[in-house]
Amino acid sequence: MNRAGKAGAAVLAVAALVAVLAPLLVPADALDVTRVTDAPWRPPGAGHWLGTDHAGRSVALLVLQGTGTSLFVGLTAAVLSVGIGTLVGVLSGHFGGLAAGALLRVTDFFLVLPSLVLAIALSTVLPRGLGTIVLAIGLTSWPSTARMVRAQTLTIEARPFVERARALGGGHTHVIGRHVLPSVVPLVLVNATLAVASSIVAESTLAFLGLGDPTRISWGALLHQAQLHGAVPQRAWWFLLPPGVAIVVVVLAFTLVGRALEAVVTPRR
Amino acid sequence: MLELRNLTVHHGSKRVVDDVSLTLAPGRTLGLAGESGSGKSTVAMSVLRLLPKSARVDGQVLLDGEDVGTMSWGRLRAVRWSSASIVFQGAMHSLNPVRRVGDQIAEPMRLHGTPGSVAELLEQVELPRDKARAYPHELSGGQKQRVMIAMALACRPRLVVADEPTTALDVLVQAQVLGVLTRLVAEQDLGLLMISHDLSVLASTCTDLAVMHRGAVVERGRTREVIAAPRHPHTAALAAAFPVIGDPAHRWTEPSPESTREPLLAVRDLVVDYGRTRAVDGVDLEVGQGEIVALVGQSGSGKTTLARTIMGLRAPSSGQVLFDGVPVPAKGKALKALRRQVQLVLQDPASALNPRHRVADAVAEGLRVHGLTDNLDARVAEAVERAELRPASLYLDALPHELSGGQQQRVVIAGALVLGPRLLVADEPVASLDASVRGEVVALLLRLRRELGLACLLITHDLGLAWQVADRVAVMHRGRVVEQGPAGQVLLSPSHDYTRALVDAAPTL
Repeated sequence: MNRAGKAGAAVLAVAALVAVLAPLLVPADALDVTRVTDAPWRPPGAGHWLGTDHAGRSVALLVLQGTGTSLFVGLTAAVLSVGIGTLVGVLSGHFGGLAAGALLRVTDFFLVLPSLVLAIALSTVLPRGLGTIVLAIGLTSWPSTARMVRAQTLTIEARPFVERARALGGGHTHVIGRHVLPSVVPLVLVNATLAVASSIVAESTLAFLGLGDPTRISWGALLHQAQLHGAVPQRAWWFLLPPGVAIVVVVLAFTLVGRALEAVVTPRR
Repeated sequence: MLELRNLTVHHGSKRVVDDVSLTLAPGRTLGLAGESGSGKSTVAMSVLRLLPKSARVDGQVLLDGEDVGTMSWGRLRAVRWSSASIVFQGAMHSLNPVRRVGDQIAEPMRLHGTPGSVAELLEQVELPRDKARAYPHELSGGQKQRVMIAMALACRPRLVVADEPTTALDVLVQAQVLGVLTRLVAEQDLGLLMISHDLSVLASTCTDLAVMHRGAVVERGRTREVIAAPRHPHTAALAAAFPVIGDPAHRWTEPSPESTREPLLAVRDLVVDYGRTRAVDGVDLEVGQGEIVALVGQSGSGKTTLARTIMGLRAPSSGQVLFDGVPVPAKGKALKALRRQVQLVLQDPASALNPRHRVADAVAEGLRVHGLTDNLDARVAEAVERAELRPASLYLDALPHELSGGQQQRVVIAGALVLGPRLLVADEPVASLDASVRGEVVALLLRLRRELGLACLLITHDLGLAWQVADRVAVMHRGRVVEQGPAGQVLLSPSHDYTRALVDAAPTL
C-alpha cells in the first residue's frame, strides 16, 4: 500500500478510536442544553478549544460526539449499497436472459435518477431515524456497484476455467461460489471503501437539510444547527468549520485507502 | 547484410540473450527456432533497437556494416523500415482497427518519402487491390498477415524480420503465407530472418537454421543438415515433436483391439445453430470404448461447437448425442451424472485453471461438485500421480502460475481423471505447449488409454498429432464431416478434396 493510503488508514484508525471512546471523553452533562453553564457563541480560547455553540455547548465535544454517528451511517449504508449492488451484479451477470434484462433495467432506472433527490424523497416519506437515513442512502447508491460487479462477473464467466467447472458438473451455486465471488470480492471491497466516503457525504447532506435523526448528533446535523441558529450572522466560524473539516478529512481518508486498495487488487500489466 | 556479434541482452539481472552471433546474406533465409522464453523474439527486436530502455544490450548488431547500437536517433529512424522491417507476431493486434489497411500500408511510405503504390504491394502479397479500402476486421487472419507483410515491404527494405508470422493461422492459410514470403525473397533478393517455435515451418522456408535454447544458440547450419542430423539434444527434441505423417516411427498408438468397437459415444445427424449460422450441419460420429478418434479441421469448421454439444454444454438444434446408448440429457441430475463419465481437457491450461486455486483444489473440484469427499486427499494425490506429477506432495500446494505449461495441462488432466471418466474430450490439448513437453503430454494420453481404457475424442487442426495417436480420423469442413476412417487410410490416401488439401498443406521436416 502506498504512503497516502497508509496516512488515510492512520486517520481512519484515529477516527474509529474517537468514535468508540466518545462516551468516555464527553461528560454526559456537557452536551445537555439545560445544564450547560457557559455563555453561547464564545470564540475558541481557554476552556473551549473550539468555542461554544448557540446554547453554550463546546463545539469540540460536539464534533467528537458526532464522529460515531457519521461513521456508523457511512459504514452501514455502504455495506447495504454494496451488498445490493453485488447481488444484482452477480445474478444479472451469471444468469443472463430475461430476468437479467429486467434487473438491468431496474439498475438503469436507479442510475439515471439523481440519487440525492431520491434519498431526500425517501427520508421525508419514511419515519425519521438513523435507520431511515441508512436505508435512503443504501437504496439509492447501489447501481454503480451493480454495473461494475456485473462487468467483472461477465469477464470471469467467459474464462475457460468456468467452462471446465461446468464440464466437471458444477451447477450455478458452484460456479458463483467457487469462481465468480472470490474474484469479485477484492473489487467489491475497494468499492465498499469508496462507498463509505460517499455515504458519509450523503449523510451529512441529508442531515444538513434537516432530514436526519433529530435526537442524534452527527457532523451534518451540526452544520444544520449552525445554519439554523445563525452562525453566519454571528460570524461564528468556529461552529461551521470543525464539523466541515472533520467530514473532509474522514472522506479523504476513506478515498485514499480505497484508491490504495484498488492499486493493490488490480495490478498493472 | 545482417551480422550479430556476441549479442547479449539483460532484463534486470536476467540474461535473456546470451552471446549470440549470427550472419545473414542477401537472398538468404535464416530460421531462428526455439521455445517460448528462449530469447528469439528479443533477438528480433534488437535488430531495429526496439527493446525497452530497461534492457541492457551488449555486443554489436551490424546492419550493412553499421552498428545499430551506436546510430543517432535520426539515422535509426531512417534505417527502420527502409533498410530493415519487421512482420510482427499476431497480425490481429498489430493493425490499427479504426484505419483502412491501405492507409496503414502507406504510412511508412509517407514517413520515409518512398514512392510506390499500395495496389502494387497488395498484388505482391496476392491480395486484390480493392482490399486497400477494407478495415482490419473485414479481413481474415491470413489476409491480415499478408497486409502485415505488404507493410513490411512498403519501403523496399533489404532485410525482413518475421516474428512467428504464421502462428495462430490454419495449415492451409499458413501454407499460403509461407508461399508468399518464399516467393518474395526469391524475387526481390531480400534477406529474411524468420522466427518460429515450429521447426517444420522453418524447414519449409529457410535455407539456414539456428536453434536457440535458454538465450544461447545451441546449433546452427544448413536447415537440411541440422534437421537430418541434429547434434544438440534440444534440436532433436524440437524435431521429434513434429511427427511426420506416414512415418511409422512417429505413430505411437497401438492398434485398438477390434472387439471394443461397440460405440461408447454416438452422434446421430447432429445440427447446431448459432443464430442464423449453422455451425454443425448433420454430423454422424462414433467413438468406441478405448478408442482415440481425432476430429480435424480448420478453425471455424465447427469442431469445437461439436465438442461442446457432446459435453452437453450446448443444446443441439436437432439430432442426437448418445452416450453408452442413452441420449445425453439436457439438464438436471442426469446431466450431472453423465459429466462424471465424460471429461473435457481445454486448449490453454493457463486459462483453464482458476489462478486463485491451488493444484489440490483444482483437482478436487470435480469430486467436491459430485459430493465424493470421502478419502478426498488420497484420491487427489492418486490422480495427480497418474498425470505424471510425481511426487504429488510437491505439486499439491502450488498455484497454477508457479507451474510450467506442461505441468498445468497435467493438472487439468488430473482434474478430469479423478472422476474416473470413460471418455475424454480434448480440445487442442497440446497446441499451446512447447515442443519438448508436447510429446510427453501426448504419451500421457496414450498411456491413460492403455491403462484405464479411456476413450478420447481429440479435436485438433494438427494432422501430425492425429497421425501420432488417433485410431480413426474424422475430417470436418464447414460443419460437416467430409471424411472419416482409420487414421492410416484418411491421412495417407485421402479421398475427399478438402482432406487432400489439408494433408498437402501440412508442413514437413
